[in-house]
Amino acid sequence: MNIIQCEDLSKSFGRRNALQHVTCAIDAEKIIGIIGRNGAGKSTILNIIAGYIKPTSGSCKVFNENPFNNIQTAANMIFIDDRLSFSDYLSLEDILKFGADFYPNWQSELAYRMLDYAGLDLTAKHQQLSKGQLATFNLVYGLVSRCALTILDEPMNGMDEAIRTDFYRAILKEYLAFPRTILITSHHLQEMESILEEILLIDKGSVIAHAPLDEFKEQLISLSGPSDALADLLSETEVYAQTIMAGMTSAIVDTSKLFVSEDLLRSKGINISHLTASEVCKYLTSKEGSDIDAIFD
Amino acid sequence: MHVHLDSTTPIYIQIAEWLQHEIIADRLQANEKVYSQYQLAELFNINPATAGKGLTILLDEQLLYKKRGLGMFVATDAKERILTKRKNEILTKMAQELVLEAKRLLVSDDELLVLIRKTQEGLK
Amino acid sequence: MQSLTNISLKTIVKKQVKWKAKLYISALSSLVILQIIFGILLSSSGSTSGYGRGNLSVKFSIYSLDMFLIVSAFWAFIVAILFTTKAYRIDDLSVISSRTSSAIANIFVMIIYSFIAVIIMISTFYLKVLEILLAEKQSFIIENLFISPSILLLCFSSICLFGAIGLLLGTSFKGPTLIKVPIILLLLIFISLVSINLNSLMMLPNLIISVIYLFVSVLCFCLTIWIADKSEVSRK
Repeated sequence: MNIIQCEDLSKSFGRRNALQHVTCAIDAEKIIGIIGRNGAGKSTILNIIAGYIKPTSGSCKVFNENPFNNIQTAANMIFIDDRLSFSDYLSLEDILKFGADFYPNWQSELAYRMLDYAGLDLTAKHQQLSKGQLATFNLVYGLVSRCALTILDEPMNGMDEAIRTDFYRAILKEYLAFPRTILITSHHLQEMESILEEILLIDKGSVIAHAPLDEFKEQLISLSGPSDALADLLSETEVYAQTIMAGMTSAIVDTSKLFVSEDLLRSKGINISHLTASEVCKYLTSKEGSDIDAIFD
Repeated sequence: MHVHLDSTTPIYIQIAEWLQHEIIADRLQANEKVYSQYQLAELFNINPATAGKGLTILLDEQLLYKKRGLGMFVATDAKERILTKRKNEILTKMAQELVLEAKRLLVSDDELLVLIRKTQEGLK
Repeated sequence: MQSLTNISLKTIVKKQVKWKAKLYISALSSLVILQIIFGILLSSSGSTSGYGRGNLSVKFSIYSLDMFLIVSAFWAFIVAILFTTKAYRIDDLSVISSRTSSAIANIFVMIIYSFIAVIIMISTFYLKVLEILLAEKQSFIIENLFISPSILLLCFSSICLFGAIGLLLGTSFKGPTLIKVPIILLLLIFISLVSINLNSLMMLPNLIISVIYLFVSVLCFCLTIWIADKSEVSRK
């Protein structure tokens, strides 16, 4: 069952097109990483899904309903980001009590244990927390509410590395205990990729890839070998990046357009290596010929 | 359990390899129940769908079999089959490298075959 | 598939009212402080006039509810505007809410606060009267010490009206441009019309004025909900 269905979705702010003709569907009960550079349109699409803003054109359905200002979708969804705010009259403990009052699947015990583990003082006020503590508290709030759709926008921002690793595991364990759809954005793809089922890559307001993580990674491949051996091959396929040094070429190419067997490549002395998910993201979203080296030439 | 997953090989392949390794090492015996995808997910800190893919590979190779409602079990001949497969793979790869190296050294096909026969005789 | 939660707007509004009433409690304490300050100011100055003839000196000091009512109404307007500011709006996003549910909850809180404001107002007024009774040794005339229900209703409706206008104004500012310009213009026209005809309005019986005030309040409330329903979340 599709939990989110976007058809030809566009959103512009004044003259700036934040999203352009996005069509995508997201299945229920998957952990999906939404990846994109700053300003790619990640927040815009999340805000539309959360029902905070209205699309300029096209449609977005969440749980088969229009999410805009819709209390039914709001009741089954939680949106966590660093702008989550609570009155400064409330202590963390008060906030948890309110959470329990609002969210029917709320896990009070778990919330206390997680905050205790992270060393957060329950009598503190939300605004007094440091950046990392704030992120920790917000993430705990998002997880224990157990909403069918949990949106985590940069949930680990400001957390130190040790606690980030812990909380990726916490997300996974909570997901195993109570499967739900989790959309998660992060600048640290490498850290979270193992818990993801799918990746949705957004660039310049468009979805440029949406695939299971492994398929996504296998989209591109790195070839390196003698320049003359590679030259023919590269002219036939799509090349994403290329460096030539001392007669040796290394190139990132589209796997689906490469019609040569691995054995044949090896026989020509060409080395094949796989890329990490974040490398694939980098090459898919980098501008034609964008290379930090170029600006120093 | 701590197993380091490397980030370029697909995770499900690493899971399939790990399970095969467990079978060879007799930590998973014939007709014994294997880990569920959720147990694997917890063990390796990975998405359960990815773990499921790893199990599917072994299921497709008939190294595992399914019992309805009970889960997956190790096939009776799983260990031998894995061992045979590995032997074949390694031997093929070595032969490939041998042929390639002979080519680079401008050794003709006949010369290579003679060399192989000589080696075999020498070992007898 | 986990089953989805079905929650009616009514339940959410109830929960939100509960949470807001608790959160915005500071708004009420500000009213008490305001009333006390005005009470003190009134006792020192008040509206006093005096004259004397021979050895007889007469001093008039008129204490009335009016001053307390103006303070309360003004307070209601400010608090209503405050409810619609960013700090309060984004707090709503942290729990199950929609702009509509938040607007309705704000309206209920405003109505409840208007009730409480009337009570605070009356009690500060009686405290003032008591203070005069105890402090002044001279004789005095008490007129209208008993506050009639129609006056109470008038107080409530005026506080409510100012709160309603505040909510509408605050919500309009964050609403779509197409809506906010006509609404703000309409409000300005309404306010100027009322101030021009204030005298003839005051001649009407209390009950009729109350009904007019309440009617306009309800109109403002409806418009507020309608605009909120059309508004996007603005976190700027």
